[in-house]
Amino acid sequence: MRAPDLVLLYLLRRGLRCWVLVRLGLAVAFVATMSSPLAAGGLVGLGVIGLSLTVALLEVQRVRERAVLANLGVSLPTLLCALSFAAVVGEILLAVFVP
Amino acid sequence: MSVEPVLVADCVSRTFGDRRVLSAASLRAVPGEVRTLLGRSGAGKSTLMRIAAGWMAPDGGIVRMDGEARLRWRPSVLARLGVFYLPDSGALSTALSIGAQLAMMAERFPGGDSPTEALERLGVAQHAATRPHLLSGGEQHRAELASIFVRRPRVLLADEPLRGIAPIDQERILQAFRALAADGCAVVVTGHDVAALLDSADHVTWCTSGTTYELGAPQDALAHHGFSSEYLGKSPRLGPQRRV
Repeated sequence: MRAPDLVLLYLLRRGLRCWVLVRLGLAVAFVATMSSPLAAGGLVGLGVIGLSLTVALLEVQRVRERAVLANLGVSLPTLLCALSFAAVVGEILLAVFVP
Repeated sequence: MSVEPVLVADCVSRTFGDRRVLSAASLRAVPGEVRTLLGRSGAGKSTLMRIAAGWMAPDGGIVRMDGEARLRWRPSVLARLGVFYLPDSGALSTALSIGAQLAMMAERFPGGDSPTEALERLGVAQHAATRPHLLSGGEQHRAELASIFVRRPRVLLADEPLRGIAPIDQERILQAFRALAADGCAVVVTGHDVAALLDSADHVTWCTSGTTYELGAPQDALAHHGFSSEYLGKSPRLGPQRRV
């Protein structure tokens, strides 16, 4: 069996971390406004995905990160897909399983 | 017989706001050679390196890789063709250990040294599990060099790799550049440590007033009146102890 791609795993982990951070921040904001901290679906989901991807992209635009990814030959489409994957899957799961 | 350059930034220009940093500047990376790009701060050396590495688009001019000319290359495309860019602020992420980053490089581009071999070669094997920003400047630079030996690029663009590190580390880094060039890599290095750079370079390019001059071998550069009077000044370190 082929071992998982280390670069891809690294990017997926970074995307997951950013999504969790954004979700935690939003949960606090939702609780403060008496809403469900796990509110999902529709515009909220899209907003969270967009925000998570933005945070992740800002992180990897720092010079050192950018150099690592560029020297590894990571293309922009791969970067966008890998960094947003966790947010997309997470939001779908929340929309399906959280009432 | 002259060797054809593998990467060429040809007649590039770049303006930031009202300030024209580069106009008709060129950079050539030639296999088997260590080329040094020298010039005062603000002369445009780093801008020229970024353009050659695909990190920045020029306003004019072209970048040719393996004979294919484009106004701008994507860094990832150049990397896959064998270009490795070492920016002055570091080329390893602070988010992962050095060993993990070298393992990614080895997996993506097999054929170079193994991460362990490379770290041992540069004397930083004991720091494989450490994140780069926790090391001293010299150790960080050596760890970055280890990643280059894992990658074994065809072209290395190193922007000020000797800045702020001890002479012993500078010597080690320059030896590593020579070793890469001996294996056919085209090395281009910038910096202000003129004596050390001239000592290990095969060719000098002078960047001044937004353009570049190919001065040739270090002894020819030292004999160049404009380069000596406008850039070197009266540096006593460029005297008889030079290797050339």
